[in-house]
Amino acid sequence: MKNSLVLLCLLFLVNGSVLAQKTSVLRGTIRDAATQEILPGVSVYLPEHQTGIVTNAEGKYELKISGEKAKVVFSLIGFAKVEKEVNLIGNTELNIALQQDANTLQEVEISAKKNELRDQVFTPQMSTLKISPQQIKHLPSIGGEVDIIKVAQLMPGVKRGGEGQTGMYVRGGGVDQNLILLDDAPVYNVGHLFGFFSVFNNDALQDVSLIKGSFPAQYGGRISSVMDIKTQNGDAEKIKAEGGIGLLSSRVTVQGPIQKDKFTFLISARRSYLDKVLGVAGLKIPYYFYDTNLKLHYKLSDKDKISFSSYYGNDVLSEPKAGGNDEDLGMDFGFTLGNFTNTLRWQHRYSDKLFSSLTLLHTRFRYQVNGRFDQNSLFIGSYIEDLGLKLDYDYAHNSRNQLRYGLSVTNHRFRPNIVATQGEISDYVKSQEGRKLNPQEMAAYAQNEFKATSRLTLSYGLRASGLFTSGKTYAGLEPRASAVLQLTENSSLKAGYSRMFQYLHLVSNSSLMLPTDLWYPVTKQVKPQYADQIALGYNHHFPKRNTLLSAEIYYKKLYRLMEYKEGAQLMLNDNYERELLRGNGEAYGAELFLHKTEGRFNGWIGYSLSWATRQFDGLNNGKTFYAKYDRRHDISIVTNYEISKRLSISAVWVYGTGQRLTGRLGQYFTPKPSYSGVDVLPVYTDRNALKFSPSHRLDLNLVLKNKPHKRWQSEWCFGAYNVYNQTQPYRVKVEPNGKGGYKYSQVGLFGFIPSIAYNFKF
Amino acid sequence: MKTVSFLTKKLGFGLIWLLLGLGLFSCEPDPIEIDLPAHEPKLVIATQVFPAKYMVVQVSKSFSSLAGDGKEMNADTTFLKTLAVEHALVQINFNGQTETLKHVRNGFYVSRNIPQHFQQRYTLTVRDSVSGLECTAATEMLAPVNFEKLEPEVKRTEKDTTVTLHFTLADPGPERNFFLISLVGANRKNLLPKNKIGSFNAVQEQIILVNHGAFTNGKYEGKERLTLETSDTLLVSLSNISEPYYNYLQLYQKSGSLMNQLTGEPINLPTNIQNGYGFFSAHNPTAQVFKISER
Repeated sequence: MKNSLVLLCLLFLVNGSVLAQKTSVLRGTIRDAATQEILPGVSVYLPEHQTGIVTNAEGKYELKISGEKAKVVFSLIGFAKVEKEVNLIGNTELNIALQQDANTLQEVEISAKKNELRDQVFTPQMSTLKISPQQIKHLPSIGGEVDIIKVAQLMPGVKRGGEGQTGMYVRGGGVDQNLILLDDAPVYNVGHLFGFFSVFNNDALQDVSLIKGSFPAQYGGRISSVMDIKTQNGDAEKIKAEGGIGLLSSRVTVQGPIQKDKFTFLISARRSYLDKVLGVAGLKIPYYFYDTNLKLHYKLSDKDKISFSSYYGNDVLSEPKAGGNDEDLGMDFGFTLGNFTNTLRWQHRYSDKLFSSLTLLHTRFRYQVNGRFDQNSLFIGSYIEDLGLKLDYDYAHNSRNQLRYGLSVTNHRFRPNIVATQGEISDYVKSQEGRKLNPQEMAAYAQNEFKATSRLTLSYGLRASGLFTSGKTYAGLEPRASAVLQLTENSSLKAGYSRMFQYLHLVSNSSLMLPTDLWYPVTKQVKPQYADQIALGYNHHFPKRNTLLSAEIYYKKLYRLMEYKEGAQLMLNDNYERELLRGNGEAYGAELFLHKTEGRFNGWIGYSLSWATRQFDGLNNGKTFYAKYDRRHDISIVTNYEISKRLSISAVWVYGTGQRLTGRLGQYFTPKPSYSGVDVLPVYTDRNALKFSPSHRLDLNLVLKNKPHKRWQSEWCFGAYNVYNQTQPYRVKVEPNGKGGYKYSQVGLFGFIPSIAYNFKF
Repeated sequence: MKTVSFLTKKLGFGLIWLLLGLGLFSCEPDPIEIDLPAHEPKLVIATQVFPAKYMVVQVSKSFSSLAGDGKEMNADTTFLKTLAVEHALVQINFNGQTETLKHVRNGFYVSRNIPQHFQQRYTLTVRDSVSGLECTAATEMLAPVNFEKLEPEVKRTEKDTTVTLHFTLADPGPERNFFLISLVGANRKNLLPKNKIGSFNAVQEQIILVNHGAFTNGKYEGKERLTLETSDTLLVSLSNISEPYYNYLQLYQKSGSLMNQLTGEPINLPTNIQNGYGFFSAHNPTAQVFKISER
């Protein structure tokens, strides 16, 4: 612990030689000319010096420049580029208001911001994908409503689980190894309808980053990826509304000022309505889900801002009416499960160099199952609730050193498997209060970005994390480092290393996302998982077409992974540790990403070549086996083409090597243990020894907009999922081959599915 | 309010027609054929010992999943007979002696000359002269045990008969002990097989596994409920079994659970047969029969 403190302190010592330079300082704030909102992420670039910076969370920038004059270019996607010639006399302040670029906003573009593509080449951060929710909203999807997690699955290095599912398997990791943050609050269950829809309403989102490796030190707690989702603040100028009516759900978002330029709000809601629609026809499908988002943003002064963000959503199946039994079945059954997250943030600017952000976090995931049958009743409940505090500082020491440091404390409360039964059922399912767990997770970090030379930038940091649980304290040091070396005017070489610790895990032995999958902390017996990852990348920007080519190779070693014994009974099992097996994993591969964001024809091509294996002494006779979602090749081609101002088409084509399966190749007869008959028992292959056939499919979406410049803007989206009705295998069955024998055939879940949606905005 | 209700209904019907229309255009994808590696047959062993010196070994072969649906084949005695290994050399080695079992029929091999030396190791060797397949296995002979108390409680309703079995076991010793209790309810007409194995179909059966950890002060008191349909007889047997066989039966129970079949990873049952499947167990069941109709 002493050593870690020393290391942390060392990170605050920045290179002193840079202080000796005599240069002018150019600083300022960038705002949206229309709304006067500050704009983070604006590229401030000095083409003659081949250097630049990106505005921070406060929309501020500061550059040290030698010479008397400089040309400065300010750019951000959706805004017209601004070029300025600046006379440098001592310290100069240059504040810029960027005009929104209407043409750009209306384009159906994907991910990354215009000049962020170029910035990505020269920042030491690697293995990061940025997704703009506004720009992917016309991509094809099941039901006509785009899903941010399913778009992430189209990126290289991210594999999907079952067809249509929101599970992500990043660089050989598991589905519970992704930290998913909504305005910094962790979201424990990201799926509706057993994972077929994500809980994120695209209209409420501002920005999404997916980090697959080379993690910045401010992130920790999961070993495979971080998905950082930010919601919109709300428009500062006028009230705006947008929404959409899809086949499965509808949504509406309203945002605007409460007090002009000071206080804004955003409210968003979404609900599925198959229950209502089919209810009119007398069909009873008593299931629905809903989401609500609220964001309030208040500017206290030029130096202080407060924002509050909240999400509340549930999946509901026929909540039982008190005292009433269903007339048809003589029984009641229902469940409710969902997330509730809250983030309260105070941002303070001490000076142009030092900013802080103090965040109070609350998140809860709970499920409740209710059942009544005759004189029996059953209640099963479970929840995980976090209350956390996070303090982050940004310190622009000088133009060559940018320091970020902070700490966080989280109090977790786990209450799994609360069971209450009455009647005869209590003989079989015993009432129990559930195991109460109350660990505290803490972390402190510091990271410095240091421009060592005009071509070399280093980023190095350390995160010290730990968890205090009953009878045991775990601590881990997580070094982080990355570097970028500019090779030419448009290309760079990057390298990165990171170690991540994970103190929570999902207890589940199912590939489906079931409500009964529970999060547990590490315990005295169960040590935390951790992973080391190294990556090497080459980036090239093609300025004429504003296209980015990124190629990365990575190697990841995962330690103390968890699997469960064959046949483990995890449901309502507080002693799951007895069913637990520990092992290690390995993942490596290469990823290619070609990304174009400008022009009428834009999109991306992603390709992954990857391997992922596991080794557990208690599984597969101790032999190494492939991970379930090990797929050698994955290709995604995502394109948008603007046919005219009112008509555009989007297409997604994906190809993937078949996923792994444990095949049933043989069987045998054997007497039952009671000798009362005969059983047919299966003979399976080694674990995940076989693979399904490759899968591929094409999705299309045609968007027809109404006439531009109307106050009421609307569009019809005509979509088609799996246009050529290709089977995406998920199961092997034995069926007659038509010649008197049998054959193996693979079954798919979804074929061709058309969709139609209507979106509006005013 | 009426207008709102009318509009809601209209909208609802509109969406239903839209969903139905789109549903008509939706397609179910055709299954795709796949070539999987061929199954390599192995010998399958099942054994049973009886009091005195009897031991029965059943030898059959495993077969491909492409042979058809297992449940249908269960009733196909012709197919079952093709799996039975009729020309094997089956030997048991124990206490320095080797006993060759005599072939009866349908893959059954029997010996009346295998004395039971408890806690001693018995080794089985099987060689099929037709297929050339062979396998070996070893186990320990375990002494029979009896219930300290065994009392069925019968409850009849209009729909069915429920038997709650109350039982007490005494721990036979300080070592790790494992027990198998099997309950079989059957109509007396169906209790014994006639010409075909399928005659067992009308049987209700249940197994209970108990291990040494469940005993308190040297005793284990339990109750188990079995719903009998047409059965008039309940057969309860108790066996002292080895730990490997206990683990096998535990996984056997779990692999049959619906939840596991729907969501869990496939389970390959463990075996103590080298180069084969099944289990070589030398346990001695003690059984009691209750005539439910008389209670």
